[in-house]
Amino acid sequence: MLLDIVVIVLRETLEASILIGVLLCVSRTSQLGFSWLWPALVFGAAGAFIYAINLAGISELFDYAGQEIINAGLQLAIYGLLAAIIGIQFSAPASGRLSLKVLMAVAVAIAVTREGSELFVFYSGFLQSGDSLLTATTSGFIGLAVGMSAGALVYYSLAGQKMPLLRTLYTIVLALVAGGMMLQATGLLIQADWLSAGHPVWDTNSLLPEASVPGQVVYAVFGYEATPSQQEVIVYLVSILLIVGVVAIMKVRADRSHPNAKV
Amino acid sequence: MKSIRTYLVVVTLSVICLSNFIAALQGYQDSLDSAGQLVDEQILEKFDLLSVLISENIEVPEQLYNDNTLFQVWRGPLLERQSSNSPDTPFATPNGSFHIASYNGHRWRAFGKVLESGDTSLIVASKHNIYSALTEEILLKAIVPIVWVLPIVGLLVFLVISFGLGPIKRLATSLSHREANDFSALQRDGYPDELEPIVSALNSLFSRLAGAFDRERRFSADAAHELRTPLAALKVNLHNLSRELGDSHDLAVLKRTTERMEHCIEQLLEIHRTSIDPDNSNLQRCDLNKLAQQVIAEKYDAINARQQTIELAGEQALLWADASELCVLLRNLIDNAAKYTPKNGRIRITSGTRAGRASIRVEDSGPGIPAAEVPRVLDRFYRVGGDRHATSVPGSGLGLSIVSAIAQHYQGQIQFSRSAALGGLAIEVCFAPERNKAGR
Repeated sequence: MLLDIVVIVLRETLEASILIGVLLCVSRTSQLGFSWLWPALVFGAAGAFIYAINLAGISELFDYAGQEIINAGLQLAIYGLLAAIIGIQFSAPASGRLSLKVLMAVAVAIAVTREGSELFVFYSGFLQSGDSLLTATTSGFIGLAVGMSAGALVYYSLAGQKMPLLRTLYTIVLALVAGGMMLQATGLLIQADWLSAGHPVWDTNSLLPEASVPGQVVYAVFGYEATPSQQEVIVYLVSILLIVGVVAIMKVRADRSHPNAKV
Repeated sequence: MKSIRTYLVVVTLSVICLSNFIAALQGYQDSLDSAGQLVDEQILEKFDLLSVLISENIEVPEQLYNDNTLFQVWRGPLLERQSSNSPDTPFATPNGSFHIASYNGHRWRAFGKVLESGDTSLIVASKHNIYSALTEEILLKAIVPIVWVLPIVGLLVFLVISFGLGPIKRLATSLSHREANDFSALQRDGYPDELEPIVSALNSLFSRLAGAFDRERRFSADAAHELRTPLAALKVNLHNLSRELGDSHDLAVLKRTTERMEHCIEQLLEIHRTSIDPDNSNLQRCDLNKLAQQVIAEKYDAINARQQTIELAGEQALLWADASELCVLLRNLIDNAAKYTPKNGRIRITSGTRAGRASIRVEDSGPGIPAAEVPRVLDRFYRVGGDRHATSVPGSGLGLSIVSAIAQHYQGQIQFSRSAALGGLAIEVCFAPERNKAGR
């Protein structure tokens, strides 16, 4: 029970906290400060609450696949926002500072809404089941503390690097996180029967079991699937390639508009 | 990294959290594995005992099974014997290995095997989670204090790190409180080994700076002294020439140039005098208002000759300083105002105390200074408009540098603005509040 709750909370917290850690690095590099984070967290928490209390109604949408479809939509939105954030990083210097702030705040708010609503639903069900509250709160605290600690360590280990290595590192992490979002969205659409499941392309359960704690951690961060279908592999690769394409286009445009500027 | 303290506190707490909780979870997993092994061993023990009882056809005592344990004895397809809590269907395949089965809302660990008689099989099962609840309870009792103690650990980490960073803060405070002309070496005692190279490097830098400043000051002073003697001879010769040749335009220009050179040399010596003694022992309680009166009296004839009016306003403004240095400051401020104020112009001097800071303000009705030139007017030999300035009064570009040097010596600040009343330049010197106290 304890381990199960820790894994559930950790899975939800880790994804959001690593995303926040990397975005804080982007914000620091772009000298945008951290003020955008607090409204994003508040809106995210409010969104999670509203989403959770309306979950019953949402689930009935799209032939009772509403939750999967909406969650997939949120993951797709985060992917789009992260791709835009990466693009702005490689655009002409000093452009899009305000839009970068807004994009990061919206990405964090959506991530917190998505992960927070699942935690809210889980804890609501837990309280109604009458199981040990001490176990639930302690496990939740452990999951939260481990998730936040991982986020803090990601932030400081990235922030300690110098440009341009720092930008390369956080772009890679953001691209992998964004790819993970697309992978999760594809999984949800397969669950909702909007995409066909297909046969697994490989099975890495023997190397890294999906149900283990490390497996869940890698799932939360990069959308790890031990037995991905062909569609999932294609979507993951295409989503990463799209981001690489965005970076290339932005670099070319920035070089053209500011031939002497180093982007 | 914005703050070393925040970085150390957050990273240390994160590492403590991660290592503690990962260790606890690993311990939990190991405990669960051990509990599972214990359940397996108990099942095997019961299996051996029950197999003996069944072979001997002895009644199975009720103590051997309870809510957590059940058994079944199958002879072929017939259920020959069973515990009261057992189902009527085969619980597991009797193939000599362990199985997991779900029954009555619980997960069960079952072991079944054909007995030596060959036609009878025995299945024994125990609830899989009978020890996991106990394991969880033990682990919770171990983890909950860690969770509660984390804020205290955080506070202790913060205090320890703050204490550890104390020498850096002390070094920063010591540097920020230094006088601009204080190049004395930092004390090496009390700094940890890690800061020793920084303190050594700073002391070496101070030593080189002190030498450079001293050489620069002595060169200016020596050069000025050396120029005084030939200049005096030049003035005597000029005087003799003017007596022999009478007044001529060229001689007048030569005289003005000589006067300007003399002024420049005097100002250079003034700078030397004001900066030579950082630990001035002639400190006394001075009133800027009274000192301004004295300087105005000295300068009155020259100002009057230019048909300018000068007025002194304000109130008593007291500070501890060397009166002669304040007079030099006031003289240069008034000279500067008079120089750049046209004939029939006005000069106003206002003294006062604001928020505990003695201040003196000199305003004029001259053209003022363009905003772009303000940052440079305190540089030595810098003159607004260069040598093409409109005034005919000799100037060296050193006056405001002298004002700046004296103001810095007394932790004063100089502000330039446009005079609202007279329309020209307004220069205000505000001295540090500490200068109001005795013994500073």
